[in-house]
Amino acid sequence: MYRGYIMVCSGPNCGVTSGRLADEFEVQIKLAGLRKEIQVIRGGCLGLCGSGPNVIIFPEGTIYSHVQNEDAARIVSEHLLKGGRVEDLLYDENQAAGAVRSLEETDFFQKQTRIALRNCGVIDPQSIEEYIARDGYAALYKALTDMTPDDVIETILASGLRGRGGAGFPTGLKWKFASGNRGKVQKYVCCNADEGDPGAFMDRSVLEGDPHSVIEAMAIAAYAIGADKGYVYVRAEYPVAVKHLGIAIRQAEERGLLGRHIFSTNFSFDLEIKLGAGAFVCGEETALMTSSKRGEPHPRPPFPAVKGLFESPTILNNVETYANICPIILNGAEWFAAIGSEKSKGTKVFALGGKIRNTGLVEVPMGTTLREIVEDIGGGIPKGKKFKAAQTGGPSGGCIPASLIDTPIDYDNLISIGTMMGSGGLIVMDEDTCMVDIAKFFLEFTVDESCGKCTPCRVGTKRLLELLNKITEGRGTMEDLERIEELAAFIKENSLCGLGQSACINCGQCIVACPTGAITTVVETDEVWAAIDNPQKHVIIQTAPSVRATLGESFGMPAGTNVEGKMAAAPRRLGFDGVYDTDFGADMTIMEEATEFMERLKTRENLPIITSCCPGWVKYCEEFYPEFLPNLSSCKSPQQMFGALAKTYYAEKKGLDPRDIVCISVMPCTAKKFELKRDHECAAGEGIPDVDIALTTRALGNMIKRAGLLFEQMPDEAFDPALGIASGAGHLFGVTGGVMEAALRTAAETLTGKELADPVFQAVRGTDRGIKEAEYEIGGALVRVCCASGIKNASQVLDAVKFGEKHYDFIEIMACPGGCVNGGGQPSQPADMRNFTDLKGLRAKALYDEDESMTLRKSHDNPLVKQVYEEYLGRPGSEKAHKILHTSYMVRNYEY
Amino acid sequence: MDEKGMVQNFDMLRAVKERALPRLDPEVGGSPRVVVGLATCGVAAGAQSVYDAIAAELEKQGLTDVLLVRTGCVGICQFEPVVEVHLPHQGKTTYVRMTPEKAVRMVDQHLLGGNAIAEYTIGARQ
Repeated sequence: MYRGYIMVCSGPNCGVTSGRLADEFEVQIKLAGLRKEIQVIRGGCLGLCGSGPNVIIFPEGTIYSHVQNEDAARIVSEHLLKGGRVEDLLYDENQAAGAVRSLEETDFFQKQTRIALRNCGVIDPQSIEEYIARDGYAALYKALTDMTPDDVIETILASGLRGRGGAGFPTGLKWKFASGNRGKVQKYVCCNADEGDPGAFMDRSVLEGDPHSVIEAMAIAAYAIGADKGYVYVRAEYPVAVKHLGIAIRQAEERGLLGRHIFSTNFSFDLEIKLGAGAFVCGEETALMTSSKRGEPHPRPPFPAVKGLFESPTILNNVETYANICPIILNGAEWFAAIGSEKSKGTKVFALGGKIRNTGLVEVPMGTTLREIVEDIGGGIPKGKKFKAAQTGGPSGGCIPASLIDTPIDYDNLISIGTMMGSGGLIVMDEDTCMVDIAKFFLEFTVDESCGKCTPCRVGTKRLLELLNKITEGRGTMEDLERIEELAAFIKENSLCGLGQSACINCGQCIVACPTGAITTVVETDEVWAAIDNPQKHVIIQTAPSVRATLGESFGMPAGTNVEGKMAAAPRRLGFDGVYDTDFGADMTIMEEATEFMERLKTRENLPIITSCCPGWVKYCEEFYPEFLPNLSSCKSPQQMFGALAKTYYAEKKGLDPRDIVCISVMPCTAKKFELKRDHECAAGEGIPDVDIALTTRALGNMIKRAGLLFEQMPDEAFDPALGIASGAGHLFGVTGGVMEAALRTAAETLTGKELADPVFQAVRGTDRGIKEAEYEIGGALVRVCCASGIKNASQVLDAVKFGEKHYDFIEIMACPGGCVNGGGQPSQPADMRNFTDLKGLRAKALYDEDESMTLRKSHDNPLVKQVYEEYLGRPGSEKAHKILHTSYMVRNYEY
Repeated sequence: MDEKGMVQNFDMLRAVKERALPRLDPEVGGSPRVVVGLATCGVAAGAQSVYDAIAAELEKQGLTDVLLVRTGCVGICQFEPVVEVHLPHQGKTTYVRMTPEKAVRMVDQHLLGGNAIAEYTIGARQ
């Protein structure tokens, strides 16, 4: 058994020489004492005759080519004895064929000038040492020790660098505007990494591949304007970029290259990452700086250089702009200004995409023609097709047709031909590309990016896309063109984001689902404070069932903490004249709804009865399932029943004019704000709404904080008795299945006249299932019930009923998954909490526990309920009860 | 100054640079350097499994002097996963559209055997 073999190629072309070569190897092997270990084999032709004679060493398979007799000794000693290789004899197929082997030899690479991308794909982005080995942090050192801040600004000005994010504003000028009052006012340096154009990923690549280049440049910028704090705003969808940037910041801090007294100077600089939710609009600079509140553009002036982040002078530059700073400082302004065209200096990174051979990232000097980019660097169009157009500038840009392919690309030339530089997306189209497809592509983008709040945008862009799809599938008609024009004009006129005259059911799930809290609701706390301040007004507050299970979260208490006592105590100290419980309204709802249900059971009309406590669901029904409106219970929701009784029964008892009562509700819900403005929700007369203002749980938390109350240390107090007594059944309204259970408790005892052995209806409990079904025998009748939470589940249940697949007598629907405990008005929790904690389960448990701990567990046992019927309404379902506690619905039709 | 210490002046900065340069440049350091593009584009194309396969094969073959490094996007996204092999005195070889299987063969034939596999290089794909 040999440990290895030497195969000497003995084909006909080099047969004689290789025969001698094999002999020579045998001699050398003997001399080396390897005769028993290595065997020489005279093999056939390898076919590599151009580089023969060839020798292959096994088992490694190393091929040596052009091997001469005198090389045998070297191969034996270097390879077989020492285990190394004879580098100069190694076979290289590429050399043999004259082919290219490395990226650096390709036209793709050689025609580029890499400044911003200098380290991408070269260094380990997680190693600050490798960055420093490529002269990293030398520019910062030079700036801090060799240049004044004004020198730095002058250098950047002289270099002619313009913003790479799209607009092309001179970077040095931006810095100069922000440079006044150094050391006297707080300033900020920000980096815009909220790359949004379709197909553009320059910023991502720089942050992933060379994060230190941005950190170093931001420190230089901070030194130049006199800032000591910086933020990088990165899309949360760029996890690798965020990770690498985070590692890089930590490394720079450890090395003292961020932090206090950098390079032993008086300059200090800290850097933080801010995550953006990835909304397209947030890349716009004014929107970006306010996106912690709400990412909306603001008019300029004031420019950020005067009044930016936190109202302080701020400079905001794009990632690619920063990536150019260090080379300019190190090599000088003249070096940079020598690259590029007359008014656009340096290079630009483009993301090449579409019908082109080499897709990817390229960095070329400004002034490079489109033809050079497409044909030389991009390798041309595949399959020999003709160039049709190139799209630049993202959704705000335009297309460059073939007739303009020799245009040198720079900021000004692109604008003069009707498009723009944008952030650097460059999409190539060939003769087969349909321009309608391109329109479709950008429309798909807008469909995706529509925040979904307003219908013209959300639905309109979708319909527009469907029309374009129809045309591109060859099924278009002339009428479609008209419809497109009409629809496009309609969308443009009617969708100014946020005016939801729409199919939005106001559920607010978008608010609590937004990972960065970028969506907010109307905040009416100022109106509440004003009412409290007004001595004419009697201001009362009612808190919804689930609020006691969630309000504590606003103060950092664990999810599922029941804070009912503190929730009653705090509003008293805020100055409310009466602190009451919506759950009393819930008990009233049960009295009316159970009565309604029992009547329908008797007459078998309008079954199944469907609950109406959830205003999100009610609006959804009106819009999408109007055929079920007769099935809806005519009962007002607990919020509205409470308000209606407050302004009638309570007003009479207290001797108050209902116009002087201001009824504030605190709801887990944003749709409640809509509900109180519905028609027929004013029991005390036209113009006197049952409820004046619906606050969210979040808003009450904010009011308590704003008043400086220490919520956690509040004593536990009871609600005021006038409208503050509720049963455990009322508390259950806050969780899916709770209304059902409360109604069944009352219906069962009313129908049978007997007390339930166990008031718990287990099958309708729990938040883990979106649809819960059960059958109960009540008073000799079979009652089939179903509880659905989440609109998707609701529509599934309704479809099943509509098509006769399912038969129920009683359906409870809540718009939010899990019910009100998971409502759109509840305290926001961070994504990790939402993803990994059963938030709704914990909150629901607080309500179940509260119910279990009470002796008063049924609505019909509530002494306050009994009193209201005795003193005021007569009996459940009476004419007066109907007038005050019931409502009506409307069919809502939207034409898109 | 220790390995991870503070960089407070130019000499310290230069010291870090000089220590890192052999790692970055095989012509200086003498050890083979293999870089795998592990930016989003690379990862999306499967570069992590390529990286893992190389690491496993290097260990299996006992090639302890080979420096295996993650890097960012070099710009040729349609060719990902990209692996660049830089052997001292032999320049760089850019392997494109790599798979774990190809990567194992690359370690065996190129790093161990000394022969670049031309059919996997960028030249063969252009």
